[in-house]
Amino acid sequence: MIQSRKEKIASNIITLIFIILALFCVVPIFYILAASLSDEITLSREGYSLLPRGFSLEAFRFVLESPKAILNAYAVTIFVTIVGTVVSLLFTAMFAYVIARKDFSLSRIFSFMVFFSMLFNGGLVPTYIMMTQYYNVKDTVLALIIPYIIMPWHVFLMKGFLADIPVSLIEAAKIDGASEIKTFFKIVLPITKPALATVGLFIAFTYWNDWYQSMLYIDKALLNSLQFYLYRIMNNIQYLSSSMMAGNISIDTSSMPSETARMVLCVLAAGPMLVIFPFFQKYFVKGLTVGAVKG
Amino acid sequence: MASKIKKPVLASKGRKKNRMNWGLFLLAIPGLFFLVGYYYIPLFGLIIPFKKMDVAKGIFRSDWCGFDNFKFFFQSPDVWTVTRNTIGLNVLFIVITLTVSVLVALGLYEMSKKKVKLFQTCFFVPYFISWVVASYIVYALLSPDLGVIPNILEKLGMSVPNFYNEPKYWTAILILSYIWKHVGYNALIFYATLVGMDSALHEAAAIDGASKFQRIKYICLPYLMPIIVLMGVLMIGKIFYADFGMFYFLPRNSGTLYPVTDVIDTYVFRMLRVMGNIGMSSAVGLYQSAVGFILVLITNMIVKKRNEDYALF
Amino acid sequence: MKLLKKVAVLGLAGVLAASTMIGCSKSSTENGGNKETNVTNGTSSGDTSSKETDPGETIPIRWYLAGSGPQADVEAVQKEIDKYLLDTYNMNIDLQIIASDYASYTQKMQMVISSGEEYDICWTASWNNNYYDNVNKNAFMELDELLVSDAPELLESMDTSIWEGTRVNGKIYGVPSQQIFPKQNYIVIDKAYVDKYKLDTNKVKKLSDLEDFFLQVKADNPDIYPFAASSNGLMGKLNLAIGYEPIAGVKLPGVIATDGTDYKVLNQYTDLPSLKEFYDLMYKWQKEGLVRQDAATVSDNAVPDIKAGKHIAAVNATFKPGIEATEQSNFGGREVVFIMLSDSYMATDSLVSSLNAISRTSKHPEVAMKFLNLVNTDKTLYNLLCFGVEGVHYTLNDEGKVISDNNKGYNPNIDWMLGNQFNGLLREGQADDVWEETKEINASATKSRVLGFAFDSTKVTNEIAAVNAAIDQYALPLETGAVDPDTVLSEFTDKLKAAGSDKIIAEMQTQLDAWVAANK
Repeated sequence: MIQSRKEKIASNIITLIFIILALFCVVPIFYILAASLSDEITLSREGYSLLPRGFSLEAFRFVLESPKAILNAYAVTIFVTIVGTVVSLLFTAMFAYVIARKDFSLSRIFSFMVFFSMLFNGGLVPTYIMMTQYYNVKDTVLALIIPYIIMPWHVFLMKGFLADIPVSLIEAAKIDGASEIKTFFKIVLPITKPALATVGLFIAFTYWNDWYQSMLYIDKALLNSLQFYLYRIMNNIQYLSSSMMAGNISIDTSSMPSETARMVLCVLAAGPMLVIFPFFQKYFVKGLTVGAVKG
Repeated sequence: MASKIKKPVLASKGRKKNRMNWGLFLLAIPGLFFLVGYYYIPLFGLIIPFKKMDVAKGIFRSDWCGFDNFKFFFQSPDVWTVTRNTIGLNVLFIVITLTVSVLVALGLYEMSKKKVKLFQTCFFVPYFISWVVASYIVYALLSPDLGVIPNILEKLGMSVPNFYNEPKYWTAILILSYIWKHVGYNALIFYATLVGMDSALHEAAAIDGASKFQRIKYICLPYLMPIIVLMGVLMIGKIFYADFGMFYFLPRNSGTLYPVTDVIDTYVFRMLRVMGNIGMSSAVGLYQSAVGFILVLITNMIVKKRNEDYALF
Repeated sequence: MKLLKKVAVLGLAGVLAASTMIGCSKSSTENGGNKETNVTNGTSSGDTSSKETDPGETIPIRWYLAGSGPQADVEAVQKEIDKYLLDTYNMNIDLQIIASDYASYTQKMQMVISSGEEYDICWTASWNNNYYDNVNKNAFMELDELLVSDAPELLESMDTSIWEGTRVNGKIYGVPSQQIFPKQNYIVIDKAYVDKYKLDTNKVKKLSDLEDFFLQVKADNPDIYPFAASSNGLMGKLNLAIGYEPIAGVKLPGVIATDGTDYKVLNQYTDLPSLKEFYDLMYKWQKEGLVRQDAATVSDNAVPDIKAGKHIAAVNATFKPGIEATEQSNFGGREVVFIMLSDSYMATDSLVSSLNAISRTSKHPEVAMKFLNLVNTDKTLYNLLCFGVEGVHYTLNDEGKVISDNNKGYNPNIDWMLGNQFNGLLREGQADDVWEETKEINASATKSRVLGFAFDSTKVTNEIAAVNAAIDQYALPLETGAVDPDTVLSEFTDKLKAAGSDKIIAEMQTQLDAWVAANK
């Protein structure tokens, strides 16, 4: 393509804007990293900076005091994230494809059903009752997976992507005598890689970031997810320091982690996902659909 | 120009309609199974707001209490302020985030692959920072004592406001924080859509001699429109819900900022924190859902009138 | 295509793995449970045969607790307890401790309770998993009769005034853990500054007496904000020093003056001059730089800043034996001086700061009661619960004090939550006479004249909700000196009135009058 001078200048300006925006997003992370490596007292005396204040690994040492528990929590979260994402992505894509097919008589009803469940829910207590007393998944890894298998938001997002599939493709498959299921797996899925990668990524993030389901359904130390483990450390001190005086309990919080440790927790929670992210990016390749149509 | 080249896609109207298709039904079964099991069966909980909960009797046998559980919220003097804040800020969030994200996605689409990778990763980083940690960063930037911004202002000889005591700055701070956290996520959606676009469209446009700007305007934007509308409509459904973590942690619960930063979720949290009444909290939840539901129905109707393909259902 | 196959295979494998995992975990809990009881039966059969009584079938006792989270090795401790109870008391239970954490405990228990889940005992308090709310929801059993029939020793072990404090509508619903009961507000000051500026601590009776001292410190050290205040506010730490006892929450309108003799419910924000004086003092201090201007946004009780030496003095609610060590570590290990700001005072709210209640859904309330009886009276059982198994989870030093280790799998550190603290082993660093002194304070404290009165808020829930929202907006800025009380306080009280504070106070007065008529 021919680029005019004007376009070149424009593209440089855009790059400049993007660099500023990227810094806006990334600089706070450097504050967090620096704080996680700072000495608590110096930090509180001198404030945040881009370089550690009084370099110290104390906060890391505190959080990693029981490495067994943290490693176990990582293992639980990784397992849940992988299994959950694969199952959820598959089911989400299947369902989204069905509601995207406007020639299907039930597609609108299904679509409405998803939408309705996005806004209305029975609240936590009924869900808790069903999960613990009828589905019997309390204290199992399934309790961490089931809640996010079908998420309305992901279904609609997927539907938005799938709506762009050329009809000709599906009709061609039909002429070849392929069943709907075969068409979906052999034609629809392969040409929607960017969509699968995007939604898959979002699903993976949902599983990775979740602590809430663990809080509700997990009592065993063995099945604690990473985020819940970190959430616990983080919130216990916050809760205690604000509520303790209401009763006359005084628990010694002076040895508990505080600001620097919170930053460490953040680094531990976000780090692995940021490493994984670029891996997904390779599926965002332009023009996939075209190749498929031509072939 | 675009419509000439555009092939019919799944979403287009005018296809054979209302046909039962057992193959498709089969594909939907796992999804239906979880949808019904996880979302629909617990819907019996919608009666909780109308009950005076008695644990010994259970949900179903507890006494009905009419709209008693709704009273506390609608009688409170601040209901108007928090509703206004919730809707106002959410509308700003929706419009600004969608605009910025679309622009970012378009920018990325025109860039080389290497740059895309780098920028995308940068934009995505904040998505992983919880609001609690973000509140420390904001505090580190704004605190009157050691904050980065007050220090710069001081060096420049400007007067330093105490940000946590001055509501006027907070609409901007909240919007910036929201963009900071969400732009990577939303831009990725639009970028992935653009990437899936048939490049024949661009080739044809280039042959026609269209400039980059024209191509964006006449090809990319129309192509993004359905998903922009979709996201907009879905976000409208959540317009009565505020991101609790954000509104609770970022302003550090500073009372003087409430006139600007207090939203339904934080307000109700404060009201009920001490009492923990599930009847009352689910009453507010039901109210938020119902209003969102009606808003989406209306929006969907308007969208449908203008272009049936874009409608949610 | 390959990718697809992989995805499909992975998905299937995942589902299978997950389902086997539930299978496993389920069967393991079942088997584990059975095994445990088998083991206890097996090992104890030798001993029990001589006792001739049949311990009956194993009864599961599920006990919900807060703390720092589940302990990795809790099963070993439970097993040991089951065995101990069977051997010693011929009591055949299968104890299941479910430990949550402080931050999520309230929400978790709300689920458990509202869903009607079956469990036996749960920890409750005025400040977490709210005792009164749960009683209102009918979640707990009345214990009056059970105490007499199944826990006479426990009933005996505490003064009747303490049991009175747990009554709601005349009934007991929870077993308080014996510990320090009264509150005594104090201020703690970095000793180095006390010495340097020759502060005569004996002359300090109230907060304002410290003003000159703080001003001196500030003059020499402009970076120091001598008096610590944080987003937690100061009211909960100073209400006795200011001179009132709350009826239903320290900031909720409706209090009793501590120094009076009448039974009049006051609105502290309008009727209590000492509160306005306190607000004025804070506003003045903030202007003079004795308190940080952004104190209301400081988290974690300002402890990091105290450690860093940014503040040199802090107030707290409850003085108790052994607190010196805690405060010293809050001050980064520096030496500290204590000054009392109030008398030792026992009010209802301090009696309900840690209780164990029996669930309405319990199938075996008598067994649960018997168990609680032993927890509070049997030292061996209590120490097992607190510290785990000796030699495995903790060791004793030369003085016979507990050295625990977080890495050994059991160190819940919730002694005061479990039961009678006076029965516990001492931890390393605790003084030998700590419990003796605590008992003495409990016995000698001034008892509130409304001790045992509990306010039933059901009639004014809507008003309380509205009032609570207003309190957060105004009270914190006022008590940290961020706003001028002369203008803001009246705005605040107007808002409280609009929210229904008068109705709340009237309701409190009605209930209090009825209580006085019945009890005095």
